[in-house]
Amino acid sequence: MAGLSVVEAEQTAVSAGAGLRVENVTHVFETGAESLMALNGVSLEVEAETFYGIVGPSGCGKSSLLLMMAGLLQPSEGRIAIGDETVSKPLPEDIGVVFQESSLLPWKTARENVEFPLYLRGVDRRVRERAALEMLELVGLGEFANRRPHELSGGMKQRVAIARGFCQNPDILLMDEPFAALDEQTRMTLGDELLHLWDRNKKTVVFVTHSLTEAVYLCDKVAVMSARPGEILDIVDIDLPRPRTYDMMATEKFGRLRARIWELIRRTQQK
Amino acid sequence: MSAGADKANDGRPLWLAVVASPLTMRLACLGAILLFWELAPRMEWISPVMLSTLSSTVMIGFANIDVFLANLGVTLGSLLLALVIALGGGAVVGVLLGSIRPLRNTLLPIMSSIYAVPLVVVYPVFTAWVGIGVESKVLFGGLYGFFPMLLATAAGIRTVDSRYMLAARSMGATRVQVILHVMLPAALPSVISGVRIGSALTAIGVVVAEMMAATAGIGFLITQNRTMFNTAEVYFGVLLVVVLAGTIDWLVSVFERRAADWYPQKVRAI
Repeated sequence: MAGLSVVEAEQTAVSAGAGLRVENVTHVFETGAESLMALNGVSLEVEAETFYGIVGPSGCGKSSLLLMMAGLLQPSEGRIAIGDETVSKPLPEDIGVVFQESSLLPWKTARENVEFPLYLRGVDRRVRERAALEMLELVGLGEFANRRPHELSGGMKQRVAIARGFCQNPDILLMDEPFAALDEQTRMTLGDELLHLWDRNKKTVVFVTHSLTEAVYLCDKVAVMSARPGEILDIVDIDLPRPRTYDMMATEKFGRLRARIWELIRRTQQK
Repeated sequence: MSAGADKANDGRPLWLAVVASPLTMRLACLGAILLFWELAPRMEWISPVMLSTLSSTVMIGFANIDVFLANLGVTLGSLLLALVIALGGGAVVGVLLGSIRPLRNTLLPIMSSIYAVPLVVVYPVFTAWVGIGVESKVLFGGLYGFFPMLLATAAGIRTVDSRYMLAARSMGATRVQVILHVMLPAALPSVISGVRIGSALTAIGVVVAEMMAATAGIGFLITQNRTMFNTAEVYFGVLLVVVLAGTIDWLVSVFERRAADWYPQKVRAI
């Protein structure tokens, strides 16, 4: 918790963690005369402090779903709620987003990027600088605090983005294929680092990915979605013990869970 | 600039690396041009009435340096005022047109069309409206640089990566914070290329205005001496305009290096 103590001291109300409820959400894109249904009646119950995965074929609307959870996109029908509160606009103290490709601001240094969410909410300069530096230390980028994104590798950039998400310190962290642009080795390492961070500082994480191995390795539950219009096919419980270790990937159970998810996706693709 | 190239001598002998470096080559080209300038009229390849030698140009220039400096001062003063109109006005209108969709859709095509018109044709109208004093030069120069600045700024604002905006909004940025901390910095490279083209065109506008109808300024001096066949004075005036344009470009580069060192070199196309 060391890296987050400063930030938490600033916040007036630190709730015990929040879950997220997706209630019968439908999303229709209006493109001129045509309308395209991206999501059809999606319901999810993401309990507090779980690591919740969403997998599905490309174009199944998982990214749209995530944007709606973030309050950046309005569902055509249904609602998304934290407790009793409907999410209809960004709620930076409750919900943070780590985007697909690096969405770091290129003119800011790593530290300035990480402290940006705190700056936006008016946190004192020294406090936010310290919080950002501690967070960068935690992701192993302490020495790179004054580098700009273009001076960092893809993996380092994504570490900074994750550090920014944790520095914002919401109860719920939404991650939209955060490792998609990385090579497999970097992706595995970052997955592990993410689990460590999450262990130190439990948050509700919603993790969208197209990697089945990643989904099984990281998550407590995985919602499997169908191709467009996106519907929830099933929710698979990943009852592997924590902390997760690499040798689990070689176990039969891991293989079975992965195969189960693949089977669900494969079946809809054949239709 | 060429420091990196000088170092990369790839095992070639040092003298060759120095001789073949871009900086050396550039200086050599410049030297060749100056040498040609001196020799061509002297050897009568070109009539001295058409082109005075470099040495006589410089000597005549320095003999009348007070006249030249006084007129250069007039040009500089008009140029500064014109730059305020061009760059300041262009930036403000560019931000508005770039960020407000209805305005953009109706006005931006019109602005592009006006930019394509050679504005020199309206200068006689200008002089009829505001006379041939400083006002017309300033207005004309300002107008000349206004459109490229406006268009570059609007393009910069319009092409800001939407991911930056989404990320900022998800972190709780208000509309004003998004404009200040995301849109403006992201548009800066494009805005700087607007400053570069805009200030060069403003300088052209002011000098051209002086040449067509004015009572003072470097452009006025060039035209006046040309009608009197004072070739050397004409070329010294031209030399001053070249130095002026070079200085402006250098200032923009300095500003660019300080303000926007975050984007990769290859983006700097113009």
